[in-house]
Amino acid sequence: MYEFRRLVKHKSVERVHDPVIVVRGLDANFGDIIRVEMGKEMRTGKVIAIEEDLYFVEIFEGTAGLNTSAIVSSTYEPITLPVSELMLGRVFNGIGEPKDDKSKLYSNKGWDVNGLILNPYFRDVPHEMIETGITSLDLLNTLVKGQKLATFASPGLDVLSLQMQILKQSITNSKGRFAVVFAGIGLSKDEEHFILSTIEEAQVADMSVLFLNSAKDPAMEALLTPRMALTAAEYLAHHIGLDVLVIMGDMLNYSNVLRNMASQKGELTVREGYPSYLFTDLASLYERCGTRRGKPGSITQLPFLTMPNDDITHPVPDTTGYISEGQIILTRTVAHAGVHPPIDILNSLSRMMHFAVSDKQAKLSNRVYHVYAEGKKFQDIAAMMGMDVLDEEAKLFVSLKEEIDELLLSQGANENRTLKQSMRIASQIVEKAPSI
Amino acid sequence: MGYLTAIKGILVKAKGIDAKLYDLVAIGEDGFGEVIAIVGDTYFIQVFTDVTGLSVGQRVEGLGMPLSLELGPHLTGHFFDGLGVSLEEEPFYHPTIRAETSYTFDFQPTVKKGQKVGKGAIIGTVSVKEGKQELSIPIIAPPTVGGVVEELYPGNHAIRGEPIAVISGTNVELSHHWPVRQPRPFKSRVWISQPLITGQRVVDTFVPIAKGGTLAIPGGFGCGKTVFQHTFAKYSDADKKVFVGCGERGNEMADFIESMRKRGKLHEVVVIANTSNMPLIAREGSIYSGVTVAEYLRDIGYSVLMMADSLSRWAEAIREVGGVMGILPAEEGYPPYLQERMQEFYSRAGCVKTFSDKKACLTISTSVSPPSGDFSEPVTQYASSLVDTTIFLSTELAYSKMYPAVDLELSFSKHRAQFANFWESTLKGTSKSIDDLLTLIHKGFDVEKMERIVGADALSDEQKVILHIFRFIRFNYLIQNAFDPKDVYTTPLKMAYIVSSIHSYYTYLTNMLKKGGKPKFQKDVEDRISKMRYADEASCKKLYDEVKGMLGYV
Repeated sequence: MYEFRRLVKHKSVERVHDPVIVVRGLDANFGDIIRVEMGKEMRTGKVIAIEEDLYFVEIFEGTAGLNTSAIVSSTYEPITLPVSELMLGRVFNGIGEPKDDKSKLYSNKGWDVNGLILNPYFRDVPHEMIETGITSLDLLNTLVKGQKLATFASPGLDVLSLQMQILKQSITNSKGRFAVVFAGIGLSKDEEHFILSTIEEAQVADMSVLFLNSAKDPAMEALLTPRMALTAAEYLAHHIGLDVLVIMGDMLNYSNVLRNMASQKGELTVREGYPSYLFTDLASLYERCGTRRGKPGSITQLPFLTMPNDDITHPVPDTTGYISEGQIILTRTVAHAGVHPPIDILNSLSRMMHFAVSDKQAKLSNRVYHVYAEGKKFQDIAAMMGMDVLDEEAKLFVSLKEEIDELLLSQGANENRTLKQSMRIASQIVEKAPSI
Repeated sequence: MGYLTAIKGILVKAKGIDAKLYDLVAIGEDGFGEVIAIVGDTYFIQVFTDVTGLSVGQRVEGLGMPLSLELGPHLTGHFFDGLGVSLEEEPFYHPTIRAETSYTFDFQPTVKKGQKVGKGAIIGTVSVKEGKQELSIPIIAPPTVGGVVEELYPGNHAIRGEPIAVISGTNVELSHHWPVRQPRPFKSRVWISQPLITGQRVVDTFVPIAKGGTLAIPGGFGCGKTVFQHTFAKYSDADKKVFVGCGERGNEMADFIESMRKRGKLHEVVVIANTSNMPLIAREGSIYSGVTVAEYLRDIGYSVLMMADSLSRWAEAIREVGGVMGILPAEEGYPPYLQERMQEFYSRAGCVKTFSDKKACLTISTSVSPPSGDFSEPVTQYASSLVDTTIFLSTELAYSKMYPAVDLELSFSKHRAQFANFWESTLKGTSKSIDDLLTLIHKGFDVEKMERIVGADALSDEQKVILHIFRFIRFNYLIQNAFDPKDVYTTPLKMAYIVSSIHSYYTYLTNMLKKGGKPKFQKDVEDRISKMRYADEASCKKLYDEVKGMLGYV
């Protein structure tokens, strides 16, 4: 830096747009966090462009209620998160401020929320499973340490209870040093309450960190929430050496905030109004997973998002699909069939699974898929033409498919199944099937 | 010295610098970028590093050269970022420009003092080890240097800063610099004549790729584009493979490098990684870096396959820059010059006569990621109109787990007819078998659509035969398991045996129809053919002879 820096407060706000104000002659760097005072009110913003002596500052809380008399100063720092082991057991809002009754987190280490770039050469191929206690995942679509596996859900499904079940069971089942970081984006009051009470009841608070962004928080905070969560995860994984599972959602909310901001700023938009950089932005989040060769600690991501109108080709699920290493699909159709959690296994896939499971499990999983697909095929035929058109073997497949739905894929919101139990149930069902 | 006047994310503006278009510039303490436009005294610079923390007034300095790579024997078997900097040092990535000087090699000249050598000629070799293998890599003079060899310095040298020879007054080192956006020269173009054998049955027989040709693989997510490209890298018969991971997943790159290491084939690859969380602008450069490395390997006489996964991410980086520059977008926000850029890139493929009079081919394979799997989008459309072979992957086939999910209805290769001789010399009669079966497959698509409407019973006997053979081909020839060690690679001779067997069986059935009979499908014939893909060449031949015998072709 070549200039001498002073903490000057500037009064030269020249223009107030939404959500950007333009300040002349501010002393600041690109990306700095900016404080804006308007009477007694304090707001926060970020320098998003500099043109000669004009500084474009995006205000997180929005610019409604501001005018050119606002007083502006720079913190000379980009957005950071103070990190320490004491984050475990804490609840923060979307920008890393305490939401529980404990004190603010102090740390001499502020980590840039845009994260570390794990060099692909030093990555290990993900090869160890995370036991979530949920059969549709563990047995059939295994979540592997270091991977990112997106979950797409029909609108209106109770995704949160599945997220909570995975959170508490994966902590309970973990044998080693394991933690969950949860990033809730655009939550309602009820949802926040449900999250906090579930975690308390299950006594897993010590090994979790929550970042809860509520629907009424300023829009910009929704964009920071996953970044805060991933920064915390990076500290815990790469600095402390924990295996960290990051559960985030709803990434549709996130993407829609991104879209709104882009359109307000007049940026280039492509499909359905989403900015041209949607892929790059989502990838900058989802790529923050992985394990390092020869080092402890890993980050696994389980982002959740709503598929608008059940449409997997909608820009947000489509873009996510290009980044994620597989996908878990939750549909209303499966929910209507009485299966909880409503995971549509035929359309779900964990691409890293084959690195992490035994031959025995791989064979059993394939067998379940085969029997289920056959059963589904004959069920569809019977739905059109009646059961009578099916021969005995076809009828057997249909009944086995129903057994899989009922006994294997359905489980209670508090039912934590070991992989062994899942495999036993599965074997008992598929061994009744005719051999291929 | 120049200074920054504006910062707009990936683009900055500066004044007072001494630089030409596409020159590299240093920005602030450790940033750098590339001049992409000059208007009056203002320089527009796209930035390869993080712009957070930059402020106006900070220093900007022209580096006096465009984005260039160090080309030398250190490349094969190693891993670089999109700008050619080694990734084998720091576990967390921080973009920088650095001269790679730490590599040393033992140089053995193959020319003599006083000998006259042409520009860019081979002047010696170095040897490298991988496991127990000892490999020899040729060393060439830069394409700009030729003349009388005045001095030779055999022995151990660093790739940079130590001369290995003096040619007409110019010091020659183990490596030399080359600007990545400038195609490397060669003696002359040579006709494309040989197929690139990938071992993938559907590709080699029905949509072949030429050595020196270009390929695009469009497909929605989950269609297996990356697995397909990795299979090409592992099994195709190019000597060297340059793999550019452009805006894709880090875990896949780790898997790729690990599987090459396990196979003891690391020396065949150069990996250039610019994963999706690495700087956007370097993604744009990574494609040029990859093709420049590939041209260099071609120039020392190797047959090279360059793979880019995915070209769409490169196009998106170009779109971002266009957007910030305020270029009036054409289709889907892409700047109007995108197609021209793609054409320039693909035209760097081809077969050439090198300065050392060797014939060498550079094949370019690119995957394309159409949003929503929609093939009408610009990158897919431009790519398929520019390349020799387009292999479309189908989401529908991928969902029914039929890999490789090649959609033969859409896919096309300009070179198929040209390779008839290749198949004839592999096994007589194969070329006609391939033609006939491809026609049958296309008929099969129509019959299958008809069957869905009218039902199987309403089909004529001829249509039933077509549909039966079509499905038989699909399940016993077109699908191929990338994770089964016996199935993952099929030799051309085995392909010829299987294709000929299926063709004989099809002919047998149509002859039956011609005689007015009902088609009788032969289970014992089908069983034998279906075993062929898992058998070795000798057993495959045996099965082929048996099938021929059973069908009365002895």
